[in-house]
Amino acid sequence: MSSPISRRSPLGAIQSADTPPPDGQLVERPFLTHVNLRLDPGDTEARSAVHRVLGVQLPLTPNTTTAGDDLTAIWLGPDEWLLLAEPDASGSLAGELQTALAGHFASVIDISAGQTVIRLSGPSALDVLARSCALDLHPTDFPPGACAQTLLARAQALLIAVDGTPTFDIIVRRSFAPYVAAWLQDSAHPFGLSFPESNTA
Amino acid sequence: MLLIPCPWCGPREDDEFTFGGEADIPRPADPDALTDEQWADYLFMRDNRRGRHREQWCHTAGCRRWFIVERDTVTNEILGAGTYGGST
Repeated sequence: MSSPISRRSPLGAIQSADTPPPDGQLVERPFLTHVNLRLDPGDTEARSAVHRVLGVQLPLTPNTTTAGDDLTAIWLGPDEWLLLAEPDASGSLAGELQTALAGHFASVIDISAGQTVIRLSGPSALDVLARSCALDLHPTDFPPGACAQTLLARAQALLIAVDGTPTFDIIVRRSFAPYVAAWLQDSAHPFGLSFPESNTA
Repeated sequence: MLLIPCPWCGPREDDEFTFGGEADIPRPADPDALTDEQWADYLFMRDNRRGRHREQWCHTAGCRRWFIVERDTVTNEILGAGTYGGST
């Protein structure tokens, strides 16, 4: 039996086609699990407790990520990380972390509903981003696995280099998502890239 | 535009930062023991130096950490940056 109340992703109205165009991709990755984790990086016991839960080490090098099978740990600050996991894992992930970190000076917050991920990939991805971001995102400076918090068209964004296609995941706050999506849509238009037509309308 | 070297994220443009005024002004340990004049001096009075200036910046749009930058207020040249307690 389906619930009379259905959830909506921040960009639900402009995503959801199943087959991306062959020359690139501009889609939302909705409903992923986002957990914000803060702890003292000097607390090695806490970090190994987190390692046992996540299966990956927290990255200690600024602006890098560590990827596991179904989870990516993203550096946000010297004592702050974002854990990005498959949809609907937030309850168990946050709960397990809270249990594992009991007694440690740490904070675990489920922020899945507060932000969303836009995936941009294809040969023109760098050109699209160059229209709204001052960072040099060329793979020599920003290889797969790198991340950066910066401004994208004056909106705060977290950029992650996923692979060498190149593919980027762009994480923005929920309330900024339609604005950033509209900007990306506009930037990508000359390159023949577009969010797929909604099939949910 | 300033290119400000965040001690964690590396050089970024100044749009990403918030200025926090002169550095190295410790909060008095016992504010109750101060005269009004001394307290006002701590709160409001700054040197506004010409030349080398140690100042606080926050990487607001990045890692959201405060740190210290040494900047020449005449030429805007950045002479160094560091964390609190570290060297600049």
